[in-house]
Amino acid sequence: MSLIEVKDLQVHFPIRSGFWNRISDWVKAVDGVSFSIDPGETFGLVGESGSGKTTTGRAIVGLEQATGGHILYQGQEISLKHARARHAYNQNVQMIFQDSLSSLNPRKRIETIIAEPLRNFEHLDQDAEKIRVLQLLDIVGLGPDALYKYPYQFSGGQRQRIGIARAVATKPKLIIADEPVSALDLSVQAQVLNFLKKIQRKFGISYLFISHDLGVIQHMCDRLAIMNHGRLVEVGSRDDIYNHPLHIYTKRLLAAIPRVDVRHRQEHQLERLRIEKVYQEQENDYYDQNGLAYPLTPVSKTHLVALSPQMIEKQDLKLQGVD
Amino acid sequence: MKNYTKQTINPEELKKLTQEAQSQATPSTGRIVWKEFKADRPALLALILVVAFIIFVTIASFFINVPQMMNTHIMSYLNRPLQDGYLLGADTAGRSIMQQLIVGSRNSIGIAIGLTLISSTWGIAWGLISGYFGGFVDWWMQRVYDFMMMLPMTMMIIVLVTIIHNYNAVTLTLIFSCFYWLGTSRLIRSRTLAETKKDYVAASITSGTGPWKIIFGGIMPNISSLIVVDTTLSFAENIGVETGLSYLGFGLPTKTPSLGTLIANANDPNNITQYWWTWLPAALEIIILCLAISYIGQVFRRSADASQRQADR
Repeated sequence: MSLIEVKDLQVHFPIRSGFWNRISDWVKAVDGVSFSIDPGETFGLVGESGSGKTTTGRAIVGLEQATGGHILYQGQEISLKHARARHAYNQNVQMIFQDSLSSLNPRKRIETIIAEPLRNFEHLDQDAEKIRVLQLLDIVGLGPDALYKYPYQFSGGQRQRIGIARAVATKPKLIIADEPVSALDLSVQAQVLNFLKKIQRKFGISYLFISHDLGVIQHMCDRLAIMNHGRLVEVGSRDDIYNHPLHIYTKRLLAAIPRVDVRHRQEHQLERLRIEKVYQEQENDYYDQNGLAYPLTPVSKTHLVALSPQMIEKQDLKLQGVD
Repeated sequence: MKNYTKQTINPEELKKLTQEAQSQATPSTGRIVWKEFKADRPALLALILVVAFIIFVTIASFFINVPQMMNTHIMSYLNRPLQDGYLLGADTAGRSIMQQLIVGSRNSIGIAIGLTLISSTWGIAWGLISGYFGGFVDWWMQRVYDFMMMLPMTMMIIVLVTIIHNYNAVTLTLIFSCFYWLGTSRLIRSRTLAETKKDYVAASITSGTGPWKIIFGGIMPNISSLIVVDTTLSFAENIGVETGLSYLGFGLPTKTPSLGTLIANANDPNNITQYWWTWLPAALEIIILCLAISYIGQVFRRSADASQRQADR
């Protein structure tokens, strides 16, 4: 059984306008997203800014109310607030935030910040709690002198590690990592990513790894989904997506990864231009008349792509030919 | 690096670490404020002045027999200052200005403190709750605010004072408090709205902390600078509220002296032109008090905002 299963999740925000402040339209931040995450797995969620990937993550952790669809945690429906409270849901599902500074209360000491989930879920006595906090600091590579400092006394990478320590404090089963490294510089990014991997090996945590950086996702994830305008356009294993992309949007996204290969710069540029041209030509084939992605269709055991009905027929023929 | 996951830390080492870490921790808010006062001499002077004055009038007023003081002494009619043992002279009824000033200051400052405490507490709680919960809670609370805002405040207070026959300083404070929380609540709400959107609130929610603990334990300390500054400045303003209404004749009853009733002596053209000692001391006192309090408020504001601090430069 998968750890968490998202079925047709919808998060729509109303746009109010006019004299009576009535709902005139909806922003469909997340519009029918389905995926599942297995225990111990890292699932990547990639997309451009405003594609709804963060909203998906916030809906799963319970910060955003889903307007439709289901979120099942170990087979139990938790998309309603009282259901989350009953299962001590947030003891098992935690979040790492993008902005490490604003995610730590500036008026509180590190000890209080890391101990917050422990105080709510585990009710330890004072000494046991302090030892747990010291252990957690040690796991993320910070010394005991950090205990009584304030968040602003740390660098960006250290703060993000404190955020990670807080997220793993209650030994959760799933952590939503919402662009945990995109605010950090490259050397620190690698450091934080390695801590995330180390913690995963140690506690067997699953990650929902939200990012727009395909390089980071490739380093971290077993499976990933590409999100575009609130819908998934392609879901598959790392190999499926990076080596056999089928959707035009995925191809374009992959072509946009910068490459440090000076000798073949010209060729890379031509390749990018070619894909951009193909994208301009074929865009209409991959999106319906409203500019939205089609429902996902399986093309192999692990690989799902949002293709139009006509393309599915062609794809079937192609696959048969290849096999 | 020691591995805490395997071996447990012994209590002595934990104690040592705790002490070490506490000595390295940043200075407390109280120490920052004190340093800031030391760096700003006029503000320190203002603080000493205000505190000493409040203590003095509180203690001194215990030694004054108020009903006797308020009796008319026809022989001392408009005594000049320092005449017949009247330090600041006497008014048209021969009552000592000095004694009235002491008792009046106590009454006015007492009302201002009470009013500030009640209205700020209510306003802060109203703004925090309204801003944090949003949605329908916010909508209803803001419609109540709008309704209160629409009422003509001074008119309402005058009407209430006229209706209630036996009123004293306490009832007056409560009547004022019904109206003076509005500005504070709106100010606090706007900051709470911005603060609620920050990730540390989201992190508290996912850590399982309840809404009341987040509001008063998480958000409130982060807007404490705003609260302190607003409360200090509204204290200066609240001294003027009672004084202003008493001046108009709708504040404290005529038998109770206050700064406002003393300034009301200036309504008489004779007093303004010839008998300056009947109204000038009270007017000067209000000016000095309000100025001193705003100096203190500025120090609080600077202590709250690290970029404005004058100490350690």
